[in-house]
Amino acid sequence: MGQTFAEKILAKKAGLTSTSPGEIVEVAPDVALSHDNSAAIKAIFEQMGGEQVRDPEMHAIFLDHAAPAPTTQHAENHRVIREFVREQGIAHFFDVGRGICHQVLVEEGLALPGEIVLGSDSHTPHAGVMGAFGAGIGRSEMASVWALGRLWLRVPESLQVVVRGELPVGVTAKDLALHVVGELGADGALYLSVEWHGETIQNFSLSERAVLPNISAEMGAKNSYLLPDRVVFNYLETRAKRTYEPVYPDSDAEYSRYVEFQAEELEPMVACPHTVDNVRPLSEVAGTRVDQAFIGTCTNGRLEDLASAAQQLAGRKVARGTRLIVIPASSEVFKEALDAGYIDTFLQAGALLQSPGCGPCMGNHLGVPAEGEVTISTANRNFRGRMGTKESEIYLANPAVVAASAVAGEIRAAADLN
Amino acid sequence: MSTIKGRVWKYGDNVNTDVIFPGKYTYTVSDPAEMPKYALEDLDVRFASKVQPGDVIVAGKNWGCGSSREQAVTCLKESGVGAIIAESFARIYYRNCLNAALPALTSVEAVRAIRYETAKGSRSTLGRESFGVEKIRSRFRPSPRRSWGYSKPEAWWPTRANAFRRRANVPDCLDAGRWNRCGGHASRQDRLGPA
Repeated sequence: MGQTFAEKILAKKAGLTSTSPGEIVEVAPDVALSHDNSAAIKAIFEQMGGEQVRDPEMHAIFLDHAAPAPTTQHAENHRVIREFVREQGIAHFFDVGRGICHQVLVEEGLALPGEIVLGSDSHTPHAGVMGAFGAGIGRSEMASVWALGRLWLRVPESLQVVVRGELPVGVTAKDLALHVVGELGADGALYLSVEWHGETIQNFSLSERAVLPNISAEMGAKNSYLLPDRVVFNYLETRAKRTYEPVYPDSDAEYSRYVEFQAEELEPMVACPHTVDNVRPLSEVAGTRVDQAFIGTCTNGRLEDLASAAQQLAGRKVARGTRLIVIPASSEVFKEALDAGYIDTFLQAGALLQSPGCGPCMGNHLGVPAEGEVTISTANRNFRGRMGTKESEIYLANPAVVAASAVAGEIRAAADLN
Repeated sequence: MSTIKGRVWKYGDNVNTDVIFPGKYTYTVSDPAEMPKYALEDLDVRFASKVQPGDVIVAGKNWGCGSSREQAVTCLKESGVGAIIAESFARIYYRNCLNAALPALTSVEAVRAIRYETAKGSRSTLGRESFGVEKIRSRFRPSPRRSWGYSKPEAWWPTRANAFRRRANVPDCLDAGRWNRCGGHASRQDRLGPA
């Protein structure tokens, strides 16, 4: 019988010929990522009696969640991490300003097809955009990985999502992702390995594709996989840090669930407060006042996202009484956006630019809303209090809609689409 | 048989880690002993001041979804919460419970049987292989045999579970390393195991 991607890759990495759902295997990740939480992980590591990180080559540490440090406490946290990185000889370290871990992992050629990425961050499934098995783990578990270089995983059942056809103009991968989360629900992929199949997916650019595994975390997925193809291989040609061997599911693999979506039927979608699966068509919430618009994050902070926002903002101004915050997902994106003139467009429109990182996404800094304020954002989470203020509302949408809403001062469909 | 006794706090579906332990505290509150102050801050303002050691949280589907932050488990563990019973758990949250030796039990029927009105302030008992709340009893199915056989001495890292166990007087069987072998996690309804 055929095997799914998850069954196959976990068997391969565990040195078995096959695995089946429910089986517990022990694997060594090819990459283990952590971020500002590395200081807390270090404390656990030491509490466990850990002295030496077993395989410093395996680890990638990013300072992105509160970067640059907004308070002395955050700065102390960063200092501890920098010292640890130096003492332990951690091979891959990216200091404040380089960007968001999930984006930078891809840019640095560290997330590779057929590899396993474990991260002490819930959006680690993002690495599936490259055909990797990415799964989030806790801090204690990451401390264990530092010490032992491996971790147990349960082989998950798999969900096959097939998307056919071509998206209408103005409908993006973000709208598709929100639609799927809305349809399947916040636990629609709980414990599952999600596999995205279909020509719609394969026709997406790498940037568009990345939205899908990124948001899969919002329906409980363990990992989320896209079939690596020429688009991925070309991107990696000059970037890959290691040789790699893609892993593909067998055509006769068994899935615990199968769902199919028709791209032509989709429209721009918005996730409404206070859950990501509270998804409604944009037309139903158009006209809602917004105090703040935020373009960025690991979900939609890439060059194509900034391009589509800039298209909306060219020759226009952010509405009086509304703020627009733009944060490129990485320094590479920032540089490219600068070269392409998008940054100039943002500034002329009255937007404010911040240094690459997670920004206000989880309420640390750089754009925390006041009580009663409404934010529209390109992020992946809109939970109550997520951006630091309990009594505020967050809507999630694609970058063009967020930019158009900033101009209108209320939720609005993107204009002049072609 | 070990039992945990305590009052029940009943919550709904898809309670996320942002409301259990807000993200704005993730890099400013690092001492576990400080964390109970912020427990469930954006979900239930009464909780932090009213919770008592041994209280049990009973929740719907997908408890602990969202961020992987371990403080969302630690803050409850340090609050003295004796166990969480849910229809299902988000996977990272479940793994974090395991490592903190905070019993996380999946039982759809138990959760549905405990209504908020009747459960408020009531006492529940939670045992190693069975628990009773009013007239409801349920037996937990042991984990698949394979996961028992998996255990190698060095594979179960001596986690903080031991320290937690001493502090909170959690029964031996709920030790992180042996938790699977105690067969705590699977209910009859929930075919999908966690993690």
